[in-house]
Amino acid sequence: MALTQAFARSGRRRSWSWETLGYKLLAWSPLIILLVAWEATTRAGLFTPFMLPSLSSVFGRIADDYASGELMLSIGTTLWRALAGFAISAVLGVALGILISQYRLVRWFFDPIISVGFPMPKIAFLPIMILWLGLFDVSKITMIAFNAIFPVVTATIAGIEGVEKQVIWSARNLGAGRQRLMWDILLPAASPQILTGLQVALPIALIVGVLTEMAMGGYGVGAVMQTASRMADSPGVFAGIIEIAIVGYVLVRLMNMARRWLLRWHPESLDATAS
Amino acid sequence: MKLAKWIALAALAALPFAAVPAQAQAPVKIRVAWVVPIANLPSLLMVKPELMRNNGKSYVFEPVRFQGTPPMITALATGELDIADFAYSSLALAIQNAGMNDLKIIADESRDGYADYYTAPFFVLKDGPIKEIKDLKGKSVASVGAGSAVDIALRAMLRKNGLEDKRDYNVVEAGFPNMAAMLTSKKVDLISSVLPFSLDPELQKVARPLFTIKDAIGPAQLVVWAAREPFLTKNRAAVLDFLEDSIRVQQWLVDPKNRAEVLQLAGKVANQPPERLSSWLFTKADNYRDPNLVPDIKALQSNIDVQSELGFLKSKIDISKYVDLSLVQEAAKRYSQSK
Repeated sequence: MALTQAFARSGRRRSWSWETLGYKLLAWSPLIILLVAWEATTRAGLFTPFMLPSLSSVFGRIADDYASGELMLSIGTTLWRALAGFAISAVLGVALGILISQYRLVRWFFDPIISVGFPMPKIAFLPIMILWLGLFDVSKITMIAFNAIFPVVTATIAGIEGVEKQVIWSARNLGAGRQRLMWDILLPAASPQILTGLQVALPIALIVGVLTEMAMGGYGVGAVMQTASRMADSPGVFAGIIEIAIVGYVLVRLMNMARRWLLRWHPESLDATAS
Repeated sequence: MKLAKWIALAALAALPFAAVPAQAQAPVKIRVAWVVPIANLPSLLMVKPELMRNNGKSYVFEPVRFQGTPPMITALATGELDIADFAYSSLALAIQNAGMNDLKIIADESRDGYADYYTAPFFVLKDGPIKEIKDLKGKSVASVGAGSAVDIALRAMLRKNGLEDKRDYNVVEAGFPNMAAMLTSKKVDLISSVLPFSLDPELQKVARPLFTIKDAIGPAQLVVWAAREPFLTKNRAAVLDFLEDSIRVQQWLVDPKNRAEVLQLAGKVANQPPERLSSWLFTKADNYRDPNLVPDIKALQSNIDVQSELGFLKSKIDISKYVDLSLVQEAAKRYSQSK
């Protein structure tokens, strides 16, 4: 009986796997079609290699960069800057969001700053950052943190303020102090929204990291792409685009995994597991 | 009567076709690139419009400003530019990387270190730690952009002294106007400089040249005019007229008789008082500009060879395949006959 059940389960698992694979292929097919069309049009000579190099030559370039160590150096440099900036924005953003949501004076001070700062193109501060902090990692990481902090702050405020009042009142009635209320009630309850803010901030960190490298040089994927562009080296530019797309995708997936793990207790994860 | 009607109708119908030859003779638009005011001739071509005698007749001159010479490669490739104002470095990249095998060098624009004319210096602080090139090991140098003409000279000189990018020194990119501030604030240890930035009195006070482009790569055919062959073939007469007019402007600019007026007009283009230009513009303290716009192909080949040796090109380029001086030579002949 147990053997039959196990067999049936394994059969179900196999058919489920094929189904999943099918869905995955279907989901990825637009990208696959795009890549095949890219290679086909370049091979057909519809574009000059300068305007659009073939996909195979771009992958060849990535392989060469990997073999020479350039790839890991540039990706490592960009990742280090992006993640350092992201980490600063995460820590400061959550802290600032908590303070704003808890203290009227802090809210009074930061509310107009965030209202003005959130929608503005903060990359405009780049010349000022160079002037104040120089051309190396400090200015780039500061720019990244400065750009990525806004979604974290606003998500933290929204998350904390969205916690049901009944829950807060009940905790207070049970004798929870301000600190206990924050750590045991507000932060856990707000964590899905805080994590959403972090998920928005992460690609921003990567984008700003690449942009600052393009503008200021100093190695990294952005700087390598900019140099390639200057040298009419189209495979180099497209290689950078693909590299950063893959890095961005992997980071977003890792962030999703981290979210699922951190919220494994939360109804959203339990619902996902059940479904 | 009927026949006359038909003839009249046919004549009416033929009118638009009759207009075609007139349209074909409409002036050819010639879009010419430039980057730096005064330093690039296209920025000065219209200072005295009457010298551009054929402008509006056989051609219409349209200057197009760029941020540097590399974007001109893209503009040429997409048909948004007719004559590029290429630094030797971008020229080679256009031929090899962008695959423009139909590119032709048609005229000279400026040369560095020609005879006893100006050569661009690389500055270090007078009281700084850099006394000789080898002291740059472990330091930061400012370059206008990897692979640019000035950058190639910088790397060539550092390589001659056993120093390699990333391994021995760090390259920071900056625009020429910001270089002096970067050196004086000690953000970098060496800066690249070109005219007119190298003449900044504040910079001269605190900095000294460590070496020059000429020390690094010898005389340089710094900037040339280049166009694609199909454009030249299709519009040869118009380009010839344009080059003849350009030579007329060039010779008027360098003629000492016109010095005062040239300084006034150039000052307007550069948005600077004429007295600030008088010490160098169109003198030996300026880059050499050939009066007949004839480039030094030997120097150009040598410069591109250095570019190749530094690894900026996949292989050597025989630049003689990409030269068409027939236009500029004929234009010079026509200009001398018209004087």
